Amino acid sequence: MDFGRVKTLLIIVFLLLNLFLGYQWQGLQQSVSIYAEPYADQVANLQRTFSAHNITMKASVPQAQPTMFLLRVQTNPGLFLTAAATALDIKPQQASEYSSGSSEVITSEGRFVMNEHGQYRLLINARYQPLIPRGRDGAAFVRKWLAKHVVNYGNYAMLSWKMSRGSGVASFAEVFDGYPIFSAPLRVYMAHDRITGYFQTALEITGSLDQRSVIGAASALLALAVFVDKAHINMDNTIQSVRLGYDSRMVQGHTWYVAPVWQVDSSRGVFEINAFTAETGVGAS
Amino acid sequence: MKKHLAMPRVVEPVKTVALAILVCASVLLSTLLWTGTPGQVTIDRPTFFSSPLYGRRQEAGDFVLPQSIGIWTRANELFRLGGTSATAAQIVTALRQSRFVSGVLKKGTEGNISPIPSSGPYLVFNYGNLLYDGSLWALAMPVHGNLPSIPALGPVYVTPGSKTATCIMSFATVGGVYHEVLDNVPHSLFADMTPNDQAVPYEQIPVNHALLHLPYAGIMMRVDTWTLAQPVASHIIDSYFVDPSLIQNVRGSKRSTFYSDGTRGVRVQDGPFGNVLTYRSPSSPVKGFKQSMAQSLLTTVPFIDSHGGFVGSDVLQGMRQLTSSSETELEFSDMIDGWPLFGSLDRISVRLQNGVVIWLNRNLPYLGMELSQERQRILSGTQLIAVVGQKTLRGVTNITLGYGTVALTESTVECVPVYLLKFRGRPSLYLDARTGKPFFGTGM
Repeated sequence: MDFGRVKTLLIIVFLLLNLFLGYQWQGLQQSVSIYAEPYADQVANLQRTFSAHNITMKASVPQAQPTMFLLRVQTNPGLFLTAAATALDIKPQQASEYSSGSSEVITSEGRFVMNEHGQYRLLINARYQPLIPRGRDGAAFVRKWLAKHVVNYGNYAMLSWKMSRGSGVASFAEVFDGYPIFSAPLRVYMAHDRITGYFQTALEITGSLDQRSVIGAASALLALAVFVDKAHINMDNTIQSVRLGYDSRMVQGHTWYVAPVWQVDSSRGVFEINAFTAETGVGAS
Repeated sequence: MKKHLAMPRVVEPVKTVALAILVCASVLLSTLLWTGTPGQVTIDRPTFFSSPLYGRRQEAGDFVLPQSIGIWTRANELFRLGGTSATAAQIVTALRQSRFVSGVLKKGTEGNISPIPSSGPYLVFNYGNLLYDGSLWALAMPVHGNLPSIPALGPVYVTPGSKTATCIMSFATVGGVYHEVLDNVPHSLFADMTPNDQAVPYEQIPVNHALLHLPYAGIMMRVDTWTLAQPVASHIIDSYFVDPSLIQNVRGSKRSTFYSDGTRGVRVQDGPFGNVLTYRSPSSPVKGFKQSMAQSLLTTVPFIDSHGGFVGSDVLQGMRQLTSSSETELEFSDMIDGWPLFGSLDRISVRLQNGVVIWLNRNLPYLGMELSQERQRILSGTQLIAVVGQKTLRGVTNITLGYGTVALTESTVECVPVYLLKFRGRPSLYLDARTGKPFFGTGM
């Protein structure tokens, strides 16, 4: 057998095969590049789609696509006395002395209550309500006060500060892995330049399941466009912010699951898109 | 000579190396092609994980039917036709073939103007509250021409017109009574105004300031025993989630299990007939958003179709707007022989908000196969009132004849004729239509 000739023949055959495969691969790259739209084009397409439904985009569209979890969370009613002592600035053993029932502590400074879902509410008596300095120092003062009066305050990050004529609400949320858990809020209420109290949901993360990559903000907004189209929601609306976090409105006893969501804040309400499945719903306004 | 001998020694190793490179390149390119081909990327997969259909698919138009049709004869006798009877279907089909000519609103208040014709013959269509916002007219009565979408706040009356093949349709609406003239009406409509054997003789009985419509004579009705069909719950639970691999279950108690993916939830709990499924997708209202009854129905029917389907001769029993929560509630229930099946068996309750289904409740077991049937005579309206007594009937607003359910075993149920009495300011009451005694059914 003339191995030299066989080799030559095989070289020609493989050369032709590679040319064919190379041509196919190049075609594939071109078709994929059609789907992999540049970010700017995606945003432009979204704005066009939204404008058909009278929605204006006044928010930047994040590009991050991190891996996140389905989190199992629970409230911890056992933390109540510690939370009450921190809120009312008393010692933990004093909290049980001042307690009225198993979910209320009352002192001269105020009243600290836990509801059936394990959420805390502090109401400060008028003469003990701290005065907030006007101007930029206000937020810093509130943070400093919260650090002293809110249990696990270090787990929270500020989401918004809405203050007008000395009254308003500062919103915080518990953070996991750098992302806010919207269903674990800390809302601080202010009136006449004073802190009047707060509402807090403190969650413990008891499991992080199903780690996977989330959909991008552009895909989430596209899912929102499909949602408003299907539901015939065509009133004037403005998207003010798009942010990634965890949330669930499926609260079940003291243990439930929170899913990663893209939260889209608009003038008509807060839309939430599940960042794993792209299911869209409307959260609390 | 020297040069000639050196060539094969150099060429053959080069060819070997080139062949090896080409083989590797072909393997590499094949792998790239295999792994690089993009799969179909879709967002929101509403039907991919749909449950196997254990009921039937329906169209939205199938549900915009009259619950019953009253026939008033020339001699002013009243007969009732079940909304799902063959004659009722013929009447509706005949009306749908007619053509809209003109319409006029006669202004007035409820006290001084009425849509009820002064004498027979005429037909009374009871659509419940389905025509309250007028958006379902196109499905209820798709006559040719420009039929206006005017809300009908009560029954719709149809009388023969003064000219051949014409009729007049009248109904109470906001600010008065609306009269429409239709022409091209098939002759069969007027023929159907003569009662046949599907029509049950009825009478109007005044009781405590209410005018009740009840059977004139003691008619024969079915007393049936049915098997309960039990679909597999797990397939149906999966269908409520976009990605079933994310479903986590939390056992609430021995009698209830809750499934959630963090966004939606399904609770399966023990009920009177077996498993009861409740789906929730919590939501808040979008400011200023309103949905018509037609849009609500057109969203709900495909949703039920893709989550098990309808299981009986389902009718849309009612639809109401819950103004406090901006929700719309729809209730579907079964019919037996043109009479409503009362209670929770074969009932599907749905709530929508922002144009999507956010809550659904249904029994998973449903009426399967009929095992036995017999016919028994029931009390007429007059006999019922005599048996029950005026004292019990104080505050009564309506009495409806239908069927009630009694679970005989875990897998069989008996359907018996019952009267449902509705009162002003107190709970409803079921009476056995054969004896007039209180009826304590299962799931009622």
